[in-house]
Amino acid sequence: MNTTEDRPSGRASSRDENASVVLDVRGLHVTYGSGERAVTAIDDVSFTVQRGEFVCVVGPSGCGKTTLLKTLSGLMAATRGEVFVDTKPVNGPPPGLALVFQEYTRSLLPWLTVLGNVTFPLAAQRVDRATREERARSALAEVGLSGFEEKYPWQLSGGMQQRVAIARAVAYRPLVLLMDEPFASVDAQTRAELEDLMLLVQRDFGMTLLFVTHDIDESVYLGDRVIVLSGRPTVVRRSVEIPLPFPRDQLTTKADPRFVELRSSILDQIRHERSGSHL
Amino acid sequence: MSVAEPALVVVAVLAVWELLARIGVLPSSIPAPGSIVSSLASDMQTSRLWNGVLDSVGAWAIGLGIVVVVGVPVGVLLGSSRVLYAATRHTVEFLRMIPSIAALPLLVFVYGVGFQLTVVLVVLTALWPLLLQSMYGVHDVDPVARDTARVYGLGRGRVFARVTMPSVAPYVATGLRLSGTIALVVAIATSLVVGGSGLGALIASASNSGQNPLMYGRILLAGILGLILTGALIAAERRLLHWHPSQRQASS
Amino acid sequence: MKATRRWGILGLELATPIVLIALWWALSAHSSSPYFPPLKDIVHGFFQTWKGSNLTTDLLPSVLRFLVGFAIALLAGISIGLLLGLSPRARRDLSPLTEFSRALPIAALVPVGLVILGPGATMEIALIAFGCVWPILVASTDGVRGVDPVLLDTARAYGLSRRQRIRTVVLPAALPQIAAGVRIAIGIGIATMVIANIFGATSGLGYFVIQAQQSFDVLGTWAGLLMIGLIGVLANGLYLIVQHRLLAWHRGWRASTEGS
Repeated sequence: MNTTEDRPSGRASSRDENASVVLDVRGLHVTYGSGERAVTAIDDVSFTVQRGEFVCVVGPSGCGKTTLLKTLSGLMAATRGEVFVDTKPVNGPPPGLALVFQEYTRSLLPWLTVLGNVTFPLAAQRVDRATREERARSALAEVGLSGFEEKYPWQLSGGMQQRVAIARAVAYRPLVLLMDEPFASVDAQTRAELEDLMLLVQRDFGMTLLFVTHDIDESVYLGDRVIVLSGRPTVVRRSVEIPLPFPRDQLTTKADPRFVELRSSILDQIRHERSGSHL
Repeated sequence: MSVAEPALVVVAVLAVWELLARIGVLPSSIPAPGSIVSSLASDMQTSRLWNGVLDSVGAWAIGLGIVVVVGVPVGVLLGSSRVLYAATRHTVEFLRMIPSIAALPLLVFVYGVGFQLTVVLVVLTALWPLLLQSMYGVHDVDPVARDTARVYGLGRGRVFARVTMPSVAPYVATGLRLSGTIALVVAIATSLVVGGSGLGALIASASNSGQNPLMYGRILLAGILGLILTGALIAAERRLLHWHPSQRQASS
Repeated sequence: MKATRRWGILGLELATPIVLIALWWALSAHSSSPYFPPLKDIVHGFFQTWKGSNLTTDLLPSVLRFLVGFAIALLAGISIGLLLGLSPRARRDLSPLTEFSRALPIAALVPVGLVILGPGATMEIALIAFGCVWPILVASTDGVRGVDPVLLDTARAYGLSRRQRIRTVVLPAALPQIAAGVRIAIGIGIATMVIANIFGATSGLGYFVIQAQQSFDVLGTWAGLLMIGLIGVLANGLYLIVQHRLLAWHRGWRASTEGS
């Protein structure tokens, strides 16, 4: 049984007025293509994320969830709107952001060992060798991969590879960790383990997470808050607080009547979005 | 337009070249493109040139034909038996590493200078890629597919025809492209080095008689010939590969 | 795989060359054919030739020219290939020139080299470089273009600069493809090394071999033949050793993704 312990007092709740806003998205608008074939993926998306929050983002298929993360991480340019990371405006990949992809195998460098992969972003930042190795090893320990440092990613199972990608993000110590449907490609059992791992990581490092998923149960299980997006052209429909207690547990939390209620409400909303959206 | 820019670059290069030649900046060893093209144009009206081209293309085609007739069956045979594969694979790879130009002087002893020499050298050089590809192709046949066919009661012959050969086809196509490309290079190179009547010999002869524009023109023709033949091989390979789901990469 | 089976296969692999050589030795032992003397004599002639002055006057110069020409081609091929791989526009604009140069048999350019540069080391090195550059260039371009975009996105998201991405992601990812091009270039380079050295030369491996042939020195011809073959095998062998080391990860990675 995977459990996480009580929240340390330092963890911010979204109601805490003194918590700093670490991610501020205002009026984001993303269109690609031009002329008649222009597609507006995101119309007007605004939201904030407080330090230490675990915010999940859900929406109907094709609603631009991935586009959102790509824009936030600087891989794609927004057509309009502003993004602030730690009050600084974003142009291009902002420092202090890490992104974990759905395709874990393809995001790991096959010519580097697990340790090499985890230290890779730090090496690029010119962090000295001793420090980056130490951070990497403790990150790997955190995700349960101690002892696998000298293996190559392709020698590991899918779930383990995703753990390496998570360790890489953790070692990087980002202000915000963006995750793009990271567990969509693993089997259900592994997914449950990785979900609990994220809760653990969140608790241990007080990390701020923006977690995109199509799995509503997952979003309610993990998040302090769930942002529900509309269909294309995408706007923020709702921001749902998840007052479920910590520690969260795959069995007890999911049996909680409030869990059922929240997920139903969100699912209902998304169904509504799906039928009403123009795709 | 996407075709315009590359064409423009070519035109620009040729124009600058022509200009520099006209001004007299270039040494006499680099003639103007205009004179090259006109030399080639008048050369193309001679039977001597076309005999040379026919000679080279003929040696290429015959050599390649022999390579296919020998290489594919032998390759399939060697690849289909685990014992034979293990015994011969490294030897074949080893032989492939020997530059065939090494054999040229010896072959001149044996065959003298002529068409036969060129064909033999083409075969010696171009055999290996196709042979190896055929071996790999059979060796790599999906055992599940093969076993499934056997379970369904297909005799060995039918299994071979229905399962093995189709999956070998892409490998053979790639091997053909590789071998065909090498074969052309060897055909032209041989006649250049030893003489005779091929396109290579014509290039050498123009060079020896100091007719530079003609030499360049014939070289240009050799390049065009190369483009046409390798283009045809690549198209044939694509055709044979287009149905193949995994579009296997050749280990060349 | 069981140990006995492994040794069995190894034995089989070694058996074929040994058997072939033994057959050659035996069948040619009493040969009266002028062009196929006994293998014993051929071997003897080989060592006689290459222990003597031919080593320094013919073998060494040729090999050095190959190495220099190849090094130039390696540098130019990878850097230009990299540039073309990164810029679709440049690739497209230069494609008529590159495609044509690729299709040209390098042997056909020997007369051009002679005419422009005259016989000698410079011409030979230039020709070797020109012949070797194309497979390396094409392979580098293909390798760079084929880098997984997810890999690049990851690097970008982690804030790596363009230069860093090229150095730490693009080039290593393209290496397997570049290696394949290098292998092809080795074969072309050795052949060019010999062919360019035939006309107007006064020393070198190609010169030696043609001289032997023209003066009906059968053993000399064989000595040259075997030496060229040996160089080819050694160069390829060296390549395989380096490739084995540098690309060990690639084999494993390919094997793991092939089943999926």
